[in-house]
Amino acid sequence: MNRFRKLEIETSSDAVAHDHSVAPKEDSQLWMNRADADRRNGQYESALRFYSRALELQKDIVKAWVGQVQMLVMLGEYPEADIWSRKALELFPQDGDLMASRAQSLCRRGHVKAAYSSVDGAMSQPGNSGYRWTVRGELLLAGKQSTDRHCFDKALQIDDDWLVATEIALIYLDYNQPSNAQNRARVGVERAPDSPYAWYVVGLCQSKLGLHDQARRSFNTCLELSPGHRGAEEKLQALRSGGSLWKRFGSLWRK
Amino acid sequence: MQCPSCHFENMPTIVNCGRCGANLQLATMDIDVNPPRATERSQSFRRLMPQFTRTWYTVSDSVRHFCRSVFGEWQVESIEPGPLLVRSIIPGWPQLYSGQIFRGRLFLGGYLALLCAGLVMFGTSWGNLLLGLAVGCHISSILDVVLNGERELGPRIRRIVVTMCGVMLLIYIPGYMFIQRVAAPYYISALMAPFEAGDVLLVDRYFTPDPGDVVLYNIPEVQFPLRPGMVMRLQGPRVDRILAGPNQHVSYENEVLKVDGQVCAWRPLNRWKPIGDFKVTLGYNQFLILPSTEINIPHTELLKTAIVGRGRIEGHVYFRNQPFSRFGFVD
Repeated sequence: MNRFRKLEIETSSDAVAHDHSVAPKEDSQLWMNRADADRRNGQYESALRFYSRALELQKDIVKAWVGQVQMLVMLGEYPEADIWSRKALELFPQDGDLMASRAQSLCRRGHVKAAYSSVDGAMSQPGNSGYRWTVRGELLLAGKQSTDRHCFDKALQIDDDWLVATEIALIYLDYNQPSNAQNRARVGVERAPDSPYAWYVVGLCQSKLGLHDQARRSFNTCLELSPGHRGAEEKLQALRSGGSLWKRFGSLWRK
Repeated sequence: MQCPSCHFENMPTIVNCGRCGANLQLATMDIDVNPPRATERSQSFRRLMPQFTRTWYTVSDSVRHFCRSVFGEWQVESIEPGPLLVRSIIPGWPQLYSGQIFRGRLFLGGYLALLCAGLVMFGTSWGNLLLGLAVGCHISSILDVVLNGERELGPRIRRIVVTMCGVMLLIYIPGYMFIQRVAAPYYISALMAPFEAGDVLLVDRYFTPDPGDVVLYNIPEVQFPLRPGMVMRLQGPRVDRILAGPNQHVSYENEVLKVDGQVCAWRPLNRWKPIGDFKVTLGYNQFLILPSTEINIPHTELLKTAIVGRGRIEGHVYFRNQPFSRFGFVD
């Protein structure tokens, strides 16, 4: 019929074009999910790569910028984390999580004073996140103050994600406090008993404390949940052989 | 347009968020989203020594802060000043590191050529000139990096002065002091057989004298009549070989020199034999050096000049640097 000739009907090509305009955001979300999944498995290198992929598709994902800095810190690349956090802050100057990530990279480099001003700025920004409190706790820990546990407790209160507890445990391990680390790592395992990485971190804390049997059990649990977990296998092998040559030599001098 | 950071609604044409200042044009901006990474070597080092790494960061940041306060803000983008300044110890290396290959090779090649030529002619005026030019080439290589982008006269002069002082104090003055101890040049101004005027000898002042060593020493001063109405005075530096050391018994009879009853294995630098026999026992810290370059010494004055205390021995002569026709070790 003639009166229907000029109706605009979405054709298949239009539908494809429409999908294309949405696709980058969906793809970026896909990469973000993969980054998050790898982070929860302790695979920081690939998580960093996926955060970058997400940003290539959509540059305004603040979480990805924060994630990149956090992964650089987890990988021990503190000067690079500092540089990157500064670059991200040029794009998002008032983002609290980015300020907190800058504070963490400064703290890891030993610039505790500069880190304090950065984390104070982060706390004064609107919004609240467990990460800001985690970083504040780390600063207090680096300054050897006992109030760090309150900040970590607050972080766990705000964010009940098991990863927060596990990453707090890793912070304690970085500052050579395995007993405090074990307490926090146990919280992570309680919240997510099926997470292999949470069990792996518990095992790390126990092996640092010299609780080898318990560490073996934790690593075995990690392997049950994730067969072929390389970190757990290496740690179990080390426990079987007694550790590196240096550790075995050192143990000769200890009771 | 909603801000991705604080979710504030902004007008469509706004560049920065009105609430938090976040950049709203990121989608169209061409920026690198891949963070800088540490090299493999840095990563291995940081994993091996995490506690030392933290201290290293503090120290290196303090040094960087000091450099920034002295040199001002770094002008070369995308390259940190630290790695360039550390590589400044070798001329041309900072340029090679930052990708300026031709300049780097020019500085390095020039420096090496001048340094080698200066060392070959060490101890002569030309040698001093060439070594000075080598130092200048090194300083120029550092200034090429340090002055990069700086246009103001005051900061430029400050950077030049600090660079020159730093290079001299940290590299060349200590190097010069070390060279002066182990390879001090000694210029022969007048014929002193077997050395001729113009010869340059290298002297090691960090040494323990032993019999057989050719040494630079100050001959004990003596005066004796040479001819009626003419007195000869001997003093000043000489070069000759130690024939006997402390506490050794030396005898010269029938033109044979014996040390502790054995025929002496060493000879003076020149073919010269004393006139008349003698016997002497050297004391603590005394050495026997027959002055073979002074043929007119009467027998009565011989031992006064031949017995040399340790304090008069300046150094071990081990190499003749100039002229090229007699370039080599002194034996």
